[in-house]
Amino acid sequence: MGNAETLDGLLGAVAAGDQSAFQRLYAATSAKLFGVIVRIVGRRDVAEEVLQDTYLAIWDHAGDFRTERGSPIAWMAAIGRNRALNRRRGERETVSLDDPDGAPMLADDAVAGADLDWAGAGADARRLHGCLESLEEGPRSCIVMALVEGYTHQELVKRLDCPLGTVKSWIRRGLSRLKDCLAV
Amino acid sequence: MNGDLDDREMLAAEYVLGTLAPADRARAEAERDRDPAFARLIDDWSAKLSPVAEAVGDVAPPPNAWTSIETALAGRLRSDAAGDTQPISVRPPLLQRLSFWRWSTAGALAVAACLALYIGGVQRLEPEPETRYVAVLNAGEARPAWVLTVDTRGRTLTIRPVADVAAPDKALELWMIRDADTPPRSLGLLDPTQPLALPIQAAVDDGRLQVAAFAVSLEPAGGSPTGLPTGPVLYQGDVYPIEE
Repeated sequence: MGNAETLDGLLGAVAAGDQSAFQRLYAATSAKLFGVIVRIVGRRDVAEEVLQDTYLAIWDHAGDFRTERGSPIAWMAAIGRNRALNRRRGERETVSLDDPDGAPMLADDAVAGADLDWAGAGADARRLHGCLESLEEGPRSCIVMALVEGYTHQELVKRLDCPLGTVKSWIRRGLSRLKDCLAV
Repeated sequence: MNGDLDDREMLAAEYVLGTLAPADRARAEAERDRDPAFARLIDDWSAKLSPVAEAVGDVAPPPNAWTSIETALAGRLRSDAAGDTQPISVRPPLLQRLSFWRWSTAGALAVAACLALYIGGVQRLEPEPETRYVAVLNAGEARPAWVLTVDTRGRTLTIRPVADVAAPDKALELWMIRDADTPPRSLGLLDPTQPLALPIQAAVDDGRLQVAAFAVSLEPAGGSPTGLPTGPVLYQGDVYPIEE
């Protein structure tokens, strides 16, 4: 992306129907969104379909973006992430997106979220990171893996080898703590 | 410490987190559509959690992904314009008439992106005796991005950026299109920050430029690996003779 153009500026132009701005927005953001989506759906061909769906939704809803609600990239990624989650949930009924035996795809890192790179992230992301780090290990792992890999309760049960009740209560506790932490 | 979230907010938060079972997920979506207050809870949680994306590693999508999006969008805009009554055609008839597939059977979608280039372009090869030509390359209706001139006497082409055309980590490749039956020919990579002058021997015949249009595509760093455009066509423009 060029210096003269910001993502909010591009989103504004896209909201006004500017197709070339849309193309530049895509060029500037598609690798980030594809990274988010492919991590959740686990397959590149499926991710490509979700990516297309996501950018068409961005075209439709660019006018809904509000700077006070967060960064443009977080807003766009939220659209992609939600669509990836819907796709992952839908596909899972019939076909495993990960291992043939149905076990969730595991990241190589032992610690959930160890491969995330927060260094270049914006202020909202750094605050989220700080709050995630302040959680106890169980809730933190559940929430980070759900956020990044798109795991359901059941997948977290397998991944963490913990009872369903424990996973559910970790998530509830973690989300409650996160809300308090982010409100400060 | 405010204690635990109430059930409704927990449903919204877990919907955004994505951990709900499909039935609960559907229930949350129905509630979101029915109740604006619940929709706001979802928005709040989305704003809280979505910045995680900034920490997730980038993965470059396949080069033809943009073309699929552009084609789908064009189809939708066409069907909007037609009042939604006609089916969306991904392959316009003109594309078939110009025997276009000859040079790109693998990149069918990439070809569609170049279509606009041909529509105005192929007609414009009348034998005019001018020695200078100009093309303004832009993206759709937008302002000009590149201005290109050709001096047929000196057989040189000059192209300069007139807008911010930076494409970090990618290459901008210039193509000349002779006519609909000939594959685009690469003229090399452009520098988004400065003008470039190139010899253009082969495209000049009998004092006339045998090029209908020019295009700039977005390619992997180093340029197209195939010798044909693989990425989206970002800018394009027909060639016009200048009276002397």
